Amino acid sequence: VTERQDESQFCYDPFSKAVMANPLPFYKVLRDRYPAYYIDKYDTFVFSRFQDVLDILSRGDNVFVASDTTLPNPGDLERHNNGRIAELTLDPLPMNTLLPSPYYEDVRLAFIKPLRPKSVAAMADFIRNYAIERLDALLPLKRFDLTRDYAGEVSASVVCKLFGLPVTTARKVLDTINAGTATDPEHGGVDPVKGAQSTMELILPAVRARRAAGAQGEVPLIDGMMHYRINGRALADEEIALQLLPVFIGGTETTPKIAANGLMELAHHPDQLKSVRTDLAAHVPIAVEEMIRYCAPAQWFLRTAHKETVIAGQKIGVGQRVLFLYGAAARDEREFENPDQFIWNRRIPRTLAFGFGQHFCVGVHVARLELKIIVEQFLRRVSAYCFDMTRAVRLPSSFQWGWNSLPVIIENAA
Amino acid sequence: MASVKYIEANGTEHVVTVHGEISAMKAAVLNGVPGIDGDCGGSAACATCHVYVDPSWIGKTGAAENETERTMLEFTSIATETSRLACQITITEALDGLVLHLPEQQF
Repeated sequence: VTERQDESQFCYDPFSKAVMANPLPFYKVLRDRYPAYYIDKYDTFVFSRFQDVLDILSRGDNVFVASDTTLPNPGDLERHNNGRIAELTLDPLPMNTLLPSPYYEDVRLAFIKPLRPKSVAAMADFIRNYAIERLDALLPLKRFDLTRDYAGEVSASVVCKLFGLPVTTARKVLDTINAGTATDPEHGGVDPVKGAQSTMELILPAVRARRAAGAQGEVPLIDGMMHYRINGRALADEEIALQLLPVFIGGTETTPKIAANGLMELAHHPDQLKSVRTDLAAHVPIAVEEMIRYCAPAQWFLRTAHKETVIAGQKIGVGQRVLFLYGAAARDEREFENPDQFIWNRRIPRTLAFGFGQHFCVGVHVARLELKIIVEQFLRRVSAYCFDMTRAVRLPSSFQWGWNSLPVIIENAA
Repeated sequence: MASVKYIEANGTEHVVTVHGEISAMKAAVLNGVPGIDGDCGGSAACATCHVYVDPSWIGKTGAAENETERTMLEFTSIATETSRLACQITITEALDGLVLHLPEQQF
């Protein structure tokens, strides 16, 4: 795709091979020429500009609900709603990412205690110690996968701690989630059976263990859900596991890609790396915000209009879908100067990397803390590093598009 | 640049220096001030950044007048006439020295 391409030839489909290989050129055309791009076969409008995405997410009163799922496969979108909205059923309780208000807020309150800033801050020593342990083991190897072996295992260890699982299972957690969320490289989307079930099999034993132990609050993420009631009904173990699935996956597959990619950007900009190194404690939190903007792998989510509304001058009818592109919004020239450049200390007054509004990322505070620690500890221990880009892997993806594998070469450990 | 003082219910004070115009919620979260959660990211959709504006500053911040903010504050049983959602207070130089008191807990 180039700017010179004939307008009639431009075609954006989030599941096309070209988009899954590199969506960024498509995003620029969408932002510049088609801010409300309609995909007829999906009956879906695509929004790519920062302010339009923000407007969608700011719309309250259940105007938009993820009732057609939030991360659809192509087949989900090919089934049109034709102006009808499926009735919400609460038994069994659908995954909370799909729930409208007030049900979503109630579920969130039940499990969010360990994800709030004060609880998260108390995890700093655990995360730092685990990062140091990983670096102790990895640095002597001189070469390792920065995404998986370092950042990925640290993130997975945090998920293990939140779910009351032994941290020795971190690698298994990481590999299971990575395998389960891999996009079909031919047709896009994720195998729902392989994707969810393999991960559920890791969560369910943790839920059952908490029920057997009495669920008195020692593992507040799960114990909170044990005490939650929907219309007076307690949830079954499978329902609890499903409610916590987004935390389990989201906490493991996103942060490592940002940390590893961010460290690579610093390596590719030695002047910026030098500036960051002059005061790591003060500068890493600032650099992390740019890493989040520039490297966040989640490309988009979907909502269905439950009421007729207008976004960016485009009328959206009941049952039609909106697909909002976080990846495009993060590089919108209308919001950020020179958006395709990594600038460690740029002003970032607003971000959509964690979403906004009702379904704002519940793990935002954990993610920021992990990123700060992972990046700072690496830079404290490694004074010179580079990457073997011939062996780096960025799998085609319709959702999590980022560096799955970044082989780092340690040139000098401090 | 502006300075904001957050005072926890137990009296612990946190002074944060704010560069640029960001909300009092974001300034607190980015600087690790305990007791401001911001579950919705700043869209006045969760009421987990409830603060009491010090009475000496309510004239400058203004009271909660927006219907969305007022509705969310009604969810908290401990709201008073100086209650605001920190995400709806934009820190500008005019608010340099602002004092915000935190409730014992967000609901």
